[in-house]
Parts: sequence; C-alpha cells; structure tokens
Amino acid sequence: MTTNNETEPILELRNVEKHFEQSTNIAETLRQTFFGEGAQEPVRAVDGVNLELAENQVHGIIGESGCGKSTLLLTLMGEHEPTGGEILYNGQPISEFDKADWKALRRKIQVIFQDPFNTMNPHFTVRETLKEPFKIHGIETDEEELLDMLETVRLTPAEEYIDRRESQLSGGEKQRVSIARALILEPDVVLADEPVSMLDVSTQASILKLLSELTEEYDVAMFYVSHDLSTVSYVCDEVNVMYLGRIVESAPTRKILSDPKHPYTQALINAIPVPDPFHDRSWTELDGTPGDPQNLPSGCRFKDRCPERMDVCDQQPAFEVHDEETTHQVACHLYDEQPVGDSPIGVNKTGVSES
Amino acid sequence: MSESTDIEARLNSLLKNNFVESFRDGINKYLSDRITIACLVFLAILVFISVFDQFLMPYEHTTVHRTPDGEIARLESPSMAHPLGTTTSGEDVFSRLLFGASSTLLTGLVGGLIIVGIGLTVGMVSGYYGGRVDSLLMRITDFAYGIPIIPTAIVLVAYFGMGFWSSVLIIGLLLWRGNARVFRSQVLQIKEREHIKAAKMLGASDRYVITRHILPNMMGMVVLFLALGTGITILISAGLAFLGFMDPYVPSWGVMLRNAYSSGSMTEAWWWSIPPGAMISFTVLAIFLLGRSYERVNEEQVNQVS
Repeated sequence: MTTNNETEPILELRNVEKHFEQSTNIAETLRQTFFGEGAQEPVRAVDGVNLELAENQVHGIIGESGCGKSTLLLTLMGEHEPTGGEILYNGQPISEFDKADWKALRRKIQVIFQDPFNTMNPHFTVRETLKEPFKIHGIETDEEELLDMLETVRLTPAEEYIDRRESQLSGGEKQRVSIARALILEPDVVLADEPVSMLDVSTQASILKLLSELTEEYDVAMFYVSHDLSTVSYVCDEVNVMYLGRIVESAPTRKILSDPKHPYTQALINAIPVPDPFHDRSWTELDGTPGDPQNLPSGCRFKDRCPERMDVCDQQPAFEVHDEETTHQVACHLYDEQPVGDSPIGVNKTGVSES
Repeated sequence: MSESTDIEARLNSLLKNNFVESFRDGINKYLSDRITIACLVFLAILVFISVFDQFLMPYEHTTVHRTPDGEIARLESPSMAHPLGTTTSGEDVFSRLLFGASSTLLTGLVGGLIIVGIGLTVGMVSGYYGGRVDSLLMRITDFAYGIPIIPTAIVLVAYFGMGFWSSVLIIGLLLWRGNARVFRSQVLQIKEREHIKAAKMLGASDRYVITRHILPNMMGMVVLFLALGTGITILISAGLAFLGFMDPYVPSWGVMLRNAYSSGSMTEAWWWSIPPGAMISFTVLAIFLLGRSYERVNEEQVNQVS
C-alpha cells in the first residue's frame, strides 16, 4: 500500500451500494419459473453513498433506524461485500486486497461497538483483552504499554483495573476498555457504531468527551454512526445525514446544527430534546414512516413525508454543493439553482431520472 | 473516572491475579455444596475400585464356590463369606460387582467422549461457518435423529460382533445428534457477541476465535454434556446388556442384571439383581450431578462480583 499525501482522503467511498437479494423459497422459485414473474426487488439498504474521510477527521453519520447506517458501517468493516461502487483505503480499492493486505488493513481500521456489555470475553481480564490485538498481529508488548493505555482512557488506577473481568466493570468502564482496545494498535481509522447509545446519559457525555480528545491525541480519523443528533456536536467535525440508503445532507457540524437545509435534517434537529419545559419550540411535523427500502419511490426518497413536497420531487435531486465556503452539500430540490418547475430544462439539470 | 473503588475490590482483584489462588477458589466453590462432595466421594471410590479391583475382590469373579458337602453353592443368600450371596452358578456376587465397576465406568467415559467429540465438532463447524456446510451437517443430524437407537444398536452389534469396544463405539456414533444441535445453537448465540466480532475485525483467524473466544465460553456446557453422555452411554449399554447384546464375558453391571434375569431367579435372589441395578443408577446420578455442579461453579467464577 502506498502512503498518501496530505490532500488524499484516508478512506473514500465512491458510490457504494449494498443491496440484499431477498431469499426465495421453493414456491417462490417455482412461481418465477413457471409464471414468468420477476424476482423480488432487492432491499437497497445502502444506495450510492459518497464519502471522504480525511486524516484526523471525524465524520458523523446520522439517521433513523433502518436508514442503512449500520449496513454502511458493516460494509466498511468488510463484513459485507458492497454490491456496487468502491471503497478506497489510501487510494487503493479494498476490493483488490489480498489476504496479507486485509490483515494489514485490520490493524489500521478498528471498531468500537454499540453494546458494551458483550464487548469483553467474560473469561478474559482487561489485560488479556488489551493484549489480544498484539497477539493477533504477532507484536511484542509489555505491561507498561497496557497500563499507559488504561491511563489514557481514564481507567485509573490502571494497576487495579488491569486484572478485572467483565463482570467487575460498569457499562461506561467496559466502553472505555473497548475504546482502549480500538486505539492500542494506533490505527488510522476508527469506526464507532453508536458507541454511547446504550449508556446512561451522564456516562455518555464523558465517553464522548474522551473519544473526541483521543481522536485528536492519536491522530485518528473516525466514522461516528449514531441515530442521536444531539451527541454529534461533541465529536464530529462533519455530519452526514442519511435517509433510506442515501446521504441527503452533509456539512460541518456547526453549520448543520445552526442552518439545516434539508427538510429531513430540519425535522431531526427540531426533535432534539431541550431540557427546558418552557422552551418555545416548533414541534417536528413529520408524519408516516420511512419508506420500504425494497419498494422505493422514484425521485426523492423523502418526498412522501416532506412538508415541502413539490412536483419536481418525483425527479431524483442531485447532491449539490450548496455553500462553497463550508462544503455544505444537500440533496433537495428546494435549493436548486434555478427556480424549480419553471422550465423542463431546470428539471433536467438537477433531476437524474431513476429507473 | 472510577465507578467503583473500594478496598475490598482491590484486595480481591489482587488475589485473582494469582492463578493458584483462583484455582483454590474454584475448588472451594465446588466443595461448598454437600451433594457435590457426596458425588465426588462416591465416584472416587468407584474409580479406586476400578483400578484396584484385583486386590479388593475377595475371590476371582469366575470362581465357582462349593458348599462343605461338595455341591455348587447356588443362590446362597448373603453371609459373612459371601457378603452379597452367590449366583446360580455359585459365583460370588460381591466380587463380580467390584469387577464390573471398571468396565461400566470405561464404557461410559469412552461413550461420553465420542458423543461430545462428534457433537461438538459438528455443532461448532455448523454454527460457526453456517451456509451450505450448516445445511448439510444439520440434514445429516436430522437423519441421525431418525435412527431408533436400541434396534439399530442391536443390528449393528449383531453385524460387527459383540466386542466391548464395538458396542461402545456404536452407541457413541448413534448418540451425538442431540449434542450437535445444542452446541450449534450455543455457537450461533456466542458468535454474535461483540468481543468475537472485535477479534474478527482485528484479523484473528477462525482457529483463534474458536479456541480463545467460543470454546472457553462453552466449557460449562461441554462438561455438562460429557457427564450426560457418560450417563446415557452407561444406561444404554446396560440396556443392551440386559437384552443380551453385550459381550457376556465382560461382566459389567448390565451383564450381571442380564444373568440374574435369565437365571429365572431375579425376584428371589434380590442380592444378585438389586446391587448392580442400584450401582448403575447411583453412578449415573453422581455423574449427572457433578456435571451440573461444574456448570454452576464455571458460571459463578465468570460472573463473580467482588
């Protein structure tokens, strides 16, 4: 693998797709053969995602349940083979990696999981858990390094924690151990899958603060996946909002929180709880449920729930740079350059018709 | 931020550091249960008898005893000379009972090992790799489920001859099916845990994941099923022996029951029929209970909260 220069992203997703074929039973297959019925539409969990993760950058991927954010992460982890598009690590497509490359990549990309209660082997002590990455990659290590790492994730006194087992740690402490395990090999990229969603709110804040400090300290880039927009401001430099397999808006965190463009993002931000009973707020006016990723409507996927729905929404909105300065991108016809619906040319320019 | 730091926890974790201490801890947990102690003592005595039966037996198990007037001492009730009386052919029941311990225990242990060995391999491969391998192995298991044990064992024993080893092997090869199912479901459950996903994400090999992450978390169950398999093998081989399909020259307890039954004097010579039956029951019971207690200690050690 070649080393990258400053500008090249460390992890790049180009039009990544992950479609799941519906498994068919015998009756289904027979019907297809004899009555000429077509196969079922695949579930389009991730459908054309473009992302660039630069060194030392933290990208948030936000979306509700079923929007494909976990599938996207599993695809990045190599658990799923993407059905389309490419994932590039340091400019190299990972689809061309051989076994040795994969092993090297496994060292450079680490994962923090959602459920802290299963994160440690119950038969392992903290020491064995932290030693494991070294053991798998055949690297020598000493006690000092492990103790240092425990100090780094604020499990102090480290000498006491290192001999504990899973059952002797609280949820927050377990999540600290899994952060330590993810960082101990000094990776380039950390994939965090809702790392705080199962913790107490009081613990959440301290874990998020730790994560954000450590990504700075260890020069590590991170994809932070969550359904909770209120947690992203702690860690993320940029936020990508995902809806039904696509990214609908992407902007620096501050920008997206203060000036959301996409109606869906606006609804999400409106839904963040404010701990003030007298706070005057406009409630989210979002009806219905996200569509079925198996029978997606043509055009904008949000159109059936969108309060701003227009005729042009039957065309797929392009994902366009809205604000050059801050790289605020949004996929919504509301922000088309020309007033929509006036001329067919305007529609053609923005709308990529979908088959 | 330390969420629980008291002196006791610190002391305990220091103690846990010491392997010998933690081993002693486990043994102590074992012995905290009186039923477990009773089972252990019982099995220890059995093992002792199996090993030293030549020295413990008052007579050779085949010696034919005679009354002072030269007659064969048939069906004598218990006395000082013969604590459990004699058989119809004048053999000492007590000696035969001691002699039968080793073959009964060995049958059980070998059978249990075969059952768990095959069951664990099939279950692990099936559950861990999934897909086509899983479908194939589970269909084979389904097929094995359809085999009636006793009739098939009788046919196979008749075909391959009534050797001691062949009978044990046949029982083992027929009984792994339930184990395979249970172990597969355990593997399916354990492999979704995040510490296993994390190890895989680190690039760990399948062998590493299986030996370091999956097997240790199944050990309690494996030992329990080894105990169950041992017990069931003893019971089924006793059943086969009773039906007359075990080597009659290896006088296991099952064969003793068979002899007592076929002599036609099972009810009157209670000293001949009841002891082997009772020994089979108690042995199987003790093995089951020990397996259970291992499972309990194993769980407690993992979940111990100091």
